[in-house]
Amino acid sequence: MSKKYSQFTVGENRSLSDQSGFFSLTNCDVHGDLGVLQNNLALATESTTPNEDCVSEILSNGDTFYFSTTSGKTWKRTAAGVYSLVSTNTNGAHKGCKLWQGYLYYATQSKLGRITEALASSEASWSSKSDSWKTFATAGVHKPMYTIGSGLYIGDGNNVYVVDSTHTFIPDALDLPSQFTISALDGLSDDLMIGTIIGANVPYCKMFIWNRISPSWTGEDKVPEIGINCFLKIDNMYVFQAGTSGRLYYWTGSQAVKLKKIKGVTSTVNPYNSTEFQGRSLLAIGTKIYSLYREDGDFPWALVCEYTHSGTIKSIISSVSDLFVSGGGVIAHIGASYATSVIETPEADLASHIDSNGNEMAFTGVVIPYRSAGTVGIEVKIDNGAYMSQTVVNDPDRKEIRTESNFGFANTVQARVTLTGLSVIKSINIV
Amino acid sequence: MSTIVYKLKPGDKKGQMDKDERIEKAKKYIELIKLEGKVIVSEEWMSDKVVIITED
Repeated sequence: MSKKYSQFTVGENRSLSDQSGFFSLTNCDVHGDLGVLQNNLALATESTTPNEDCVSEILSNGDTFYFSTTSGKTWKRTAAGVYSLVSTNTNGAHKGCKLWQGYLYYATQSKLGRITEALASSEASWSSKSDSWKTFATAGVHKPMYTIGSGLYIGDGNNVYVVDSTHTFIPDALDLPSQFTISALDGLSDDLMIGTIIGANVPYCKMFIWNRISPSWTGEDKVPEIGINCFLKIDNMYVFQAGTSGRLYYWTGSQAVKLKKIKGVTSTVNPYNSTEFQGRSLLAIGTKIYSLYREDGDFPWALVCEYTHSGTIKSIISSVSDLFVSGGGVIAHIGASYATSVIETPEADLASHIDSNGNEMAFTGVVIPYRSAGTVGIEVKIDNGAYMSQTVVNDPDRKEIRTESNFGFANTVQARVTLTGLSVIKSINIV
Repeated sequence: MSTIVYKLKPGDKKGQMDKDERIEKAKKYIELIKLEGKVIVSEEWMSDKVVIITED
């Protein structure tokens, strides 16, 4: 019995044996042209300065500012792509940055600095900056920043600070119980979502909701994870990544509910590792950038690895037509060459294999119908063995690439397809 | 000149500072910024907040 894997828009599946979706999709675009899969353009280094990992903020005129998270340096990237060092903050490494009401604010462990938006762009070196504009009472590692309604909200230990619309500084506008450290902030309509962590050895944390007026929070839910790391930028949904196992949750209005799990994740996620690029919500974990997206309202939310960076990603930010990635001491953006895409089909486990039902069946080969093909490699894993590279044959008349040799009899067959150079494929058929 | 407002109205949830703790923390915050060299132009204590004007 043959199997046809063509539902690319389902994205990555939930487990090895889950027949819906693919075991892995790396550097793939499955949403651009519905029904086919093609390579994404690869990330390419745009600049080796900044040579430190940074968080960033983009201004109204398109200038982007990169604040080092390992030193006090700040670099400017003009909209034309020219980088320059504009400042060195004597207060040390940066923890966050945000544009608010004509000022570019930036936080270090114990200070909030700022410069006007106009002078941030026009001054070659920031002579008018104020690195120590205001003081935080807690010199903690997290300084998440978020703008909503009439304020810039900043997490400082277990307290929320506010810079209001007149730039009045309000320390401790909200205080949480002292065991919580605020790790991430986002908006829920007019309310503020406050993600927390208790400690790396405590297996739960809490999400707090605050209406920004009351002296107390207005909602909360316990989340069984080591901290809330990062909110995704996604329209009409409130999704966040928590813990060290790649789990994504969404907020129902009163509770956090599991949404997805990115397989193979064993580390935390940096708070500036999300952005929205051309409508797709992107989340960076380690060296990979995943999208959580559906092109059609009837489709399921799909997780797809769209890009891979050369180093561990510290932050991502997007402009109208480009994506900028800080990590590994470089800034990368979307280049002109196509990435090598890797697609793995699901594998059914031996006991419940839906093709053979535990009995060996004859498998002839792997066939890949295509619209266009660069170099297509096919590896096959039979009965949970190792992937074995296959000789492939390109039939341009039928517009299909297939393996040359017959597999014989097998209980399970899993295919790994590698696309080098632009390839647009319609499905992966195991026949 | 810039303004710092420290609110003194306490929350009502378990684990939050009460009013005395808020007053104490506001005093400590004012001391902290004085120690850092900020010049305080005025300091107005009200029932629900303290408004601090600094020279910067």
